[in-house]
Amino acid sequence: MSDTVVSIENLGKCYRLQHQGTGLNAAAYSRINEELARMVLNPLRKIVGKEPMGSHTTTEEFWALKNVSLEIKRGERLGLIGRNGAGKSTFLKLLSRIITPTTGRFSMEGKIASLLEVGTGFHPELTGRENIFLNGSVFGLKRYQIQEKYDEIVEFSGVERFLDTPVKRYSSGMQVRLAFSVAAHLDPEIMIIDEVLAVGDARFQKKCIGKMNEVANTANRTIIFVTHSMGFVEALCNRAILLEGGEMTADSEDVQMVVHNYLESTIDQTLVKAEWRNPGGQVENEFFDLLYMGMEGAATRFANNRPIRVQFEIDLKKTDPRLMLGIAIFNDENSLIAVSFCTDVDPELPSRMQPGLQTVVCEIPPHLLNERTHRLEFAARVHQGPNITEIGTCPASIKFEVAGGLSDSPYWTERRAGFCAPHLKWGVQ
Amino acid sequence: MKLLHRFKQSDSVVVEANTIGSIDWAEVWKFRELFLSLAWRDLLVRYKQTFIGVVWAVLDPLLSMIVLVLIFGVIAKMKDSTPVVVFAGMLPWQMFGLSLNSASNSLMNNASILSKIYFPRIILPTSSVAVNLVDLVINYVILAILMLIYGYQFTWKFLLVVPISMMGIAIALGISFFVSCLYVKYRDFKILLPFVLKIGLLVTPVGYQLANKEEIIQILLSLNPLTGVVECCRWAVLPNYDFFLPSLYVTFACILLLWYTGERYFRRSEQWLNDVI
Repeated sequence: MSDTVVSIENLGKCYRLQHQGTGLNAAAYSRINEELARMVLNPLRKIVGKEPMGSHTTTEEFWALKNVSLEIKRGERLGLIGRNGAGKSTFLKLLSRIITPTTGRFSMEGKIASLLEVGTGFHPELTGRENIFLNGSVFGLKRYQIQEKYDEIVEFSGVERFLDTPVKRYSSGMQVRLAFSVAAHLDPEIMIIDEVLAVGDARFQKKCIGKMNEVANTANRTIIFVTHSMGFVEALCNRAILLEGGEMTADSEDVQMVVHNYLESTIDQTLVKAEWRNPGGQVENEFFDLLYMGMEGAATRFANNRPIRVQFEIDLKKTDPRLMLGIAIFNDENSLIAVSFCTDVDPELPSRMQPGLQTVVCEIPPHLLNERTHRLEFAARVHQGPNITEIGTCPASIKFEVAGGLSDSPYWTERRAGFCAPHLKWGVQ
Repeated sequence: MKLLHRFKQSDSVVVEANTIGSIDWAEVWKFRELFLSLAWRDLLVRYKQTFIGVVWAVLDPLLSMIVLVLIFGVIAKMKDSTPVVVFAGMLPWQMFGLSLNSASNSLMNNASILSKIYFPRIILPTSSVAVNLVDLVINYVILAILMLIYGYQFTWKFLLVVPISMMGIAIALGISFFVSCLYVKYRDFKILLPFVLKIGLLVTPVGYQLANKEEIIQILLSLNPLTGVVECCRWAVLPNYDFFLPSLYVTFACILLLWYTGERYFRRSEQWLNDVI
């Protein structure tokens, strides 16, 4: 038997969007009388030589998924990431055979269990117990096979007390717990899970991730997983796919890299640039006006072995020895790496500043920041007094990238994990 | 070749765009457990949160029969509209009506599992009529009791009542292959369906019998495929009933036609169901 369990060629799904007229003619569903009238009258109109009657609705094509080709191997835990409307759910629905593709084909080997939404396949009027059996039979299991797994399912779900309550009275969290429990215990060869675990609490989510890891590792099952939680993807998946606008833009076993690229793309490029100019009225305080903040030469890319200089133009209203100007350095996941103030080493610096326009310079030494995109945020406070800006919310913020120049040693050429990439001193004694 | 491959590996699946396969009956058989579960579920759900529960299953046909006897026998003064005659006609009609209703609504009623889980869709309308077999049994018993009360003789033909009623279910199912899909797209059927059943009750000889009527009326009413079923059931219950045989030919022809075209329509509709629901 081959190692490929799912093979997808050129898969695409097109929806026809109907734009309906407003007012009285707007209807939520197609109305048969309108279509019948067109069917009967249009041939007549043709004979008389009149224009055919148009529909009240106009249609537009929308490709929810386009040209996706990939092969998924046995035991792979595939994470699908992407923004809302990127086609993740459409992809899972196609694989679950809920909807049919417009283009392309795919083939799958093995039993499939899919968990697409909250309460998947439950009947609201039936009790939890009855639904376990109904759900099991949907997966194609016999009654006695479900009976064998029954205790495990109930124990994992943690809803023992409510087994004789109709599912319609369950909370959404309880429904998901039961549904996941059933799906995970029915021994599917391929498990398809949409963003359902988000409903459960943190403890149950952890339990699910553990269960999925167990299923994937010990039984060599394949998992296809959609989530907006990058933590889940990194914890569970050994392959990640990025969907953007219905198209696959990344597919790699380097999950962290795909996640990084995705997070990168979610940063709004128009808001953060290499330079920031005060549009007026921002960072207002009694000590100074911040006019400009920018990288030296408005550069956006720096090597790790070069110093990185930032300039601030301020209009100082009065000299105050307590004034602390500074920066906060964030990485692309918006984790704070460091905060630095101009008084950190030289406590006399504020006293030397004269009222009026001046440029303050800050230098980030070489061999400090790791290879990734960083964000610098302006920070200011009064010594033993109030903060002028709140770290993480100051609008004065610029972006730059550190790439290359990690070391001259041939042993260190690739980006490593971690916030920093410092040169530490090594020796032999 | 492709078919062979499918049977070798029962769990492997190939999906291709723009191909409409025939309904895979081997696959339907694989899902028989689901068929039974759904039927069992319908039965469980049916009288949940009702006050007198299963009593409805007895009351409904009895009250309908009494109303029809009052209208046709007492008010319209048709001598042959006696309780047994009316009930014998009503039994297969009831099977048809109930089945048409449940099968046509089956896709909409199960939208929650339809839009989340894959299984052969044909299971929904077919399993939804299974519940009505319970009504069939109840009605059958009531009919037997009525026959005892009014002193009718039981013959071997009485056994045929069940298969004859099944023909009513078969017609309903054939229609529902179209209507269940159309209902997903056009909610008009919500209004249309009860209307058709109301009219149908009058143009089918349920409250009156066809025997001993003028030939032109017999021929006209026989164009309705339900007439054959209803009259055939009377023939099985009443002694020496003058059964107008051609009406049964219409019934058979209709069942074949509906099932053949209905199956084709249904599997074509499977392609778009979840885009619309």
